[in-house]
Amino acid sequence: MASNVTQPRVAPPVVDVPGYEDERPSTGQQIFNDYFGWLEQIAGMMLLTGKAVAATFTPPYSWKEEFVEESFLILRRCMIPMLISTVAFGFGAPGLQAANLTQIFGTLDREGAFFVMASIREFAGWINGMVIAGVAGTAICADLGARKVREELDAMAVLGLDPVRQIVTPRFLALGIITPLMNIIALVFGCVGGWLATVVVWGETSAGYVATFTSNFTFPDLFGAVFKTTGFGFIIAVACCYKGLNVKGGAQGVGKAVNQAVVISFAGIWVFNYLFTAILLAAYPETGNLH
Amino acid sequence: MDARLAAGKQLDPESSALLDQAASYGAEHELHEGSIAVAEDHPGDYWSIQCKGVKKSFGRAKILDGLDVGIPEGMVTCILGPSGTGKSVLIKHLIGLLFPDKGEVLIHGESLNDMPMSKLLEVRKKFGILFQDGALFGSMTVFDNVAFPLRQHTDLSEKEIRRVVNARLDDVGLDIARDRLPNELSGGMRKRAGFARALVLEPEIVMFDEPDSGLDPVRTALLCELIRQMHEQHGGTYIVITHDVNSARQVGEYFAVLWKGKIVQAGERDDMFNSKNPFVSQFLNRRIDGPLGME
Repeated sequence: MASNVTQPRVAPPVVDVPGYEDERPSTGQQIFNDYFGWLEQIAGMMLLTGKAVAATFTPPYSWKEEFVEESFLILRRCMIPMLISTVAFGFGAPGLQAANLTQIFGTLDREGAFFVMASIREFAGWINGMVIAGVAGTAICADLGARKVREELDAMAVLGLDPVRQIVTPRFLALGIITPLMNIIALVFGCVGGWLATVVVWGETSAGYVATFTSNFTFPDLFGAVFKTTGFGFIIAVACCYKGLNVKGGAQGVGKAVNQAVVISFAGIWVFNYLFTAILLAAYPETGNLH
Repeated sequence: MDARLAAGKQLDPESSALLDQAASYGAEHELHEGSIAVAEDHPGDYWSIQCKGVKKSFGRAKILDGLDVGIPEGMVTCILGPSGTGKSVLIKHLIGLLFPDKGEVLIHGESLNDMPMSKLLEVRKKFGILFQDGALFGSMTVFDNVAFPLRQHTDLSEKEIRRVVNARLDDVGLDIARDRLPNELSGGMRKRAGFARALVLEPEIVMFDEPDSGLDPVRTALLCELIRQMHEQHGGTYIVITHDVNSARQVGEYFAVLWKGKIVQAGERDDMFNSKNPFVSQFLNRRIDGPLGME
């Protein structure tokens, strides 16, 4: 520790400084701030992603312990809501409604084929993303926001620790990895919902449902679903972490940040889902055929 | 006049020689151009921290407007100013949590501008900071909060860490609260716990962001007394940011008065309390007549 008097000291002079002049930003700058502030946010999210990726692959790997904790936290909070949502949605909309149509043509067994498209390619991953964004993403955003408001992140930075490495990276990786893993379970339970509607309610045989399912299910469907939901996980991670880290204005600011984070996550998931599925079907056209 | 000499404190021979050398330097160079004039010739010698022409805006709000200030080494410096005048923004610039739109901040002569993050994290280890509400980690006990920097940055054994942390908690009178969580502490206790954490790595520079906020006058005075005692005991450069003149008078040796994003005046305590500047005189003497109104 520095000793009491180690450096020379003279009484510095009393210094008068010129008066304050109120210089407002130029009109162009105001317009840019008002209408194109979102560009700054996108740039901020990209920078945060870059920092989190760099922290992932460079030592010290101080994020490992918290990554495990956060992963279990996401599983604990999201698993039951995701299971209920996928089974209920699979049973209701594509299950009962689609069976209502296919039974007119006497092709109830085609429900299995339909669920490859409905559950595997679309709604299981989508519901999984919604649940993780709405439950885990918001919790992470609120947690980071509260830490920001309580100045914990600043305190950490002053202690010579990088908040991105310590706090953001483990959450970023946990969301990015747990989302596709949970999606595999979501795919199964989405199909279970369809099976309940087709077999239990409409009286089709399990053999018919499974036969058309397996004849249509392809490997690109599976890895496409896993890749897509990995993207969902990282979209949720970057939106929620960025918004949490940039909270302004106390408790009200935390609420606003959580609201914005979930809207950005949902919109990001919808856009990415559309683009990814379009590219997948173009790259593997046979997956779109009904066998 | 040097505040410690004025208080009749004895300096060791080496420090006295340095002081004489510095005083003769000051006499030769007529220090009328502002405190920065010294720093340019002797970077890092005299000032722990320097701000040169620091400007910072958030959207349309201009917070710092070409601020120049030097923080003397080894003294307790009070940065005073009315509420909402940019004091907390300034403290974040001093430790590289915010960066100026224009100008630069130098720590012991090293500019924080464009410093790589790894280097910045190293520089920040020179600092301890007491945030307004303590900024304790909510999931850790008081003991773990104070032990956290030691566990992150040293190779001390748990036994050694326990000894150091207990000593620090005893210093700030929190030995009975070591196993409590931050939400089980009063505001004053949180500040003292934050103070213990700020001191645990024995930093060269310790900052206090409004140590009086949220405390009653007696506890404010007790905390200021603790700050003063810790500085006497451990030394180092202390920076207290506050708008409370009584607190500043109790702990401060060097004063800088901030208003509308600029340092209006800076100098040693006696010079400042006798200042003829209308704003400084009004603020430090808590008068209602003067340039500062309710606007």
